[in-house]
Amino acid sequence: MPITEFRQALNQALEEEMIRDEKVYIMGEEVAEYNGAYKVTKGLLDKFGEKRVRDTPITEAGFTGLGIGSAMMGLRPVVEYMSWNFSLVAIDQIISNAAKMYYMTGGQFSVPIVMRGASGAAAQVSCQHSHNLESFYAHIPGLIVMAPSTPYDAKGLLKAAIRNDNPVIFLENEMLYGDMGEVPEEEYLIEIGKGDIKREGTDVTICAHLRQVGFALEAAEILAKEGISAEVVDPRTIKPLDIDLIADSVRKTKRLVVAEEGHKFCGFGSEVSALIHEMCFDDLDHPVIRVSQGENPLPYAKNIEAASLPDVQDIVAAAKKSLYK
Amino acid sequence: MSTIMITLPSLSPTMTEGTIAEWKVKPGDEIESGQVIASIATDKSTVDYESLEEGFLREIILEAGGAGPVGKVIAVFTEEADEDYSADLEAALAEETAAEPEEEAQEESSDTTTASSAPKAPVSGGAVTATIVPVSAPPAEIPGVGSLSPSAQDIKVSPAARKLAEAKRINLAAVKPATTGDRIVLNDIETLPNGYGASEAQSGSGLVGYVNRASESLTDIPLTQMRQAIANRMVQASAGVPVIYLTTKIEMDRLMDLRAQINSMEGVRISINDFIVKACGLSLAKFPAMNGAFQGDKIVQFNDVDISVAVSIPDGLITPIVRSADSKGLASISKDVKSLVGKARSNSLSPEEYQGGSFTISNLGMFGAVDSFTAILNPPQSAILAVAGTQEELKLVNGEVKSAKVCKMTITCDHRVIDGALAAEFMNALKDYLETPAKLIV
Repeated sequence: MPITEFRQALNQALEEEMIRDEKVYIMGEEVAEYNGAYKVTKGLLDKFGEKRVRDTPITEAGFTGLGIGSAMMGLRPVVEYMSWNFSLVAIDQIISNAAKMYYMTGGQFSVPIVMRGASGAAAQVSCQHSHNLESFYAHIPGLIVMAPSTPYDAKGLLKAAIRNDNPVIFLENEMLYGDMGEVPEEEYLIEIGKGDIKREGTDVTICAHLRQVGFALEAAEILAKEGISAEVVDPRTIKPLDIDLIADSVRKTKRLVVAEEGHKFCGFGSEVSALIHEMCFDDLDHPVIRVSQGENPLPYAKNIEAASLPDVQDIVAAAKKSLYK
Repeated sequence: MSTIMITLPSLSPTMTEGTIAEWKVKPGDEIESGQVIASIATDKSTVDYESLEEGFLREIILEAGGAGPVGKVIAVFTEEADEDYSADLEAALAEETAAEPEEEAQEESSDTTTASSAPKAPVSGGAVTATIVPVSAPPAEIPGVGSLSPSAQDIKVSPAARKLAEAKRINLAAVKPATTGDRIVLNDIETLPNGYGASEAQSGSGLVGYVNRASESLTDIPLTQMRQAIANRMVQASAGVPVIYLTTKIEMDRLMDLRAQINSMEGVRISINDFIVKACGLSLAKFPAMNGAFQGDKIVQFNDVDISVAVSIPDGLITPIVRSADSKGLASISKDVKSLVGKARSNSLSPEEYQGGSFTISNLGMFGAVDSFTAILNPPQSAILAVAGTQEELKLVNGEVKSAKVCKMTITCDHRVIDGALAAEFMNALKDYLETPAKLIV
């Protein structure tokens, strides 16, 4: 299987879907002439022309609304935010229009739009550029939220997102764009709402998404040296959530650590924790432990940025705590 | 101005109920801190109790002869001789009554770990719950050993541990939260055998296992606290514990000759059992691995050789302890045993005199008809020696028929701790000491 870079896997998904369906088009800041801020759309302007790969002014609310309107009229836009932080100026379009339109029109208008871009912390981009918005968007009925951790998952999910008739929030991370991974040459899709066991284990389950998956796998290696067998579950889609996969794992291991980059309060980990306590109460040997970012704006300074973000050692410590070690 | 509720204290690790044997004070008395106020019968013995509180005893709630669960209000003190305590007492008793249906409900759901009848929070109206300590302090706890900690009612259990315990029919009340200290978790349950600590007697009326038996032809005998404690411990000892038995014949002729010589001295009377206690003490000192207890994830070895001696008493059975039996002389052992048996028969053993032994001897030698028998372990100990009666037997020595006085002894060992070869070596040592009894003296 070819080894492919994360950004290249996304690029393949876009290209394949644009070839397959001429209604698919790309819109965003610097996606065309500049090939995308993170080069995800590299070469697509040359292949598909400026009608289908469109640069926009710095007006997220405007081009998001434009995308939603075109989706209502039958197109399938893929809107890129240079960073999900900038989606906050378009959040009314996303929540009040994209998420609600199908319901408000009694099913007359669906909104098959994909909104994608980098989310979360990178390397010292400070607090206004490091938001983790999965909990914000997953809170709203009508939105699908995806958060892939590998090139394989990214490609399969993005293709599935483009073909889905609902608005999809597609979260990437700057630190993952250069990651390499196996991506098959033949076409494939990943079922929306289907998680993946990234590593099998028996003693503790670690649920992680996006960049935390890599941390969880490193933590599992460290734990293995201490005789602790950790299972790493990646839900891949935040909503709809494959809670059954997580629950089955917890029923086996009896312990759960949820690692996420975002804040703890009302975070994704809180939701998983609540669901697991509801579904697996009798199977738990320790309360679910959440590993997450500190309750503070993410600092710019390198040392305190690192101290605020959850890392491999935090996951190792939580896993051991869940085993009373 | 305040009211103090005196509640029935937990006086031994296995105590859940107690009976007031005698009140040593009466209403109106001014009680000083440290004063003995009552004697209370527990499942094992009757112990004097002193109050940590001071004040005036105003009313006895549980009269002598009355029984109740640990935590029940048994008396009321007030700080001043004449202050009104009726509202506080009413509130305390109401709280006690309110706790009862809950307890029954828990019993119905066979929840054996959280039944709690002890009102823990201070009762309303400025009243406080008094602490009472036994006059004789409970024995220092051996780390990791002992069936129940005093605060067993407060022990938490993780849901997964509870589920596994149910599947393995393990009695959570008998499990120690060894991993965390305050919560029983999977790790504590996984290492225990099926049925560990299972002790709940068959409940309900009628006779289980029999049909067509008119109830008039049956007599129900309520369990005494001692009988219940024996039942619990024997089930705990036999449920799921893998045991091995080794039997040996010991010629007692020389020992009996020696004993006759010793006892011909003025004022000396050493029993055969005293010799056996001494011989076991020396053999255990030689093989300390016999002197331990299986504790889930480890074996705890006792550094002292403390031999429990089973004593039959009208209510049942108790095993007072001869401490350091390996280093004491025969006369000293004999004196200890006489004193302990006397106290056992008058129900006046203090807890440290019967709790914490490391090995047990059960001697039925006085019943001539018993040729041999096996004993059940005395948990958490790993070995018990069953001593049968001594019989005259014929034996062949170089082709000639001779007679010998033979005693069969059988040891029961917890195989998780003791393997057959070790037990055999121990029995060899024991046989050697008893057949060459001079070694017990020199």
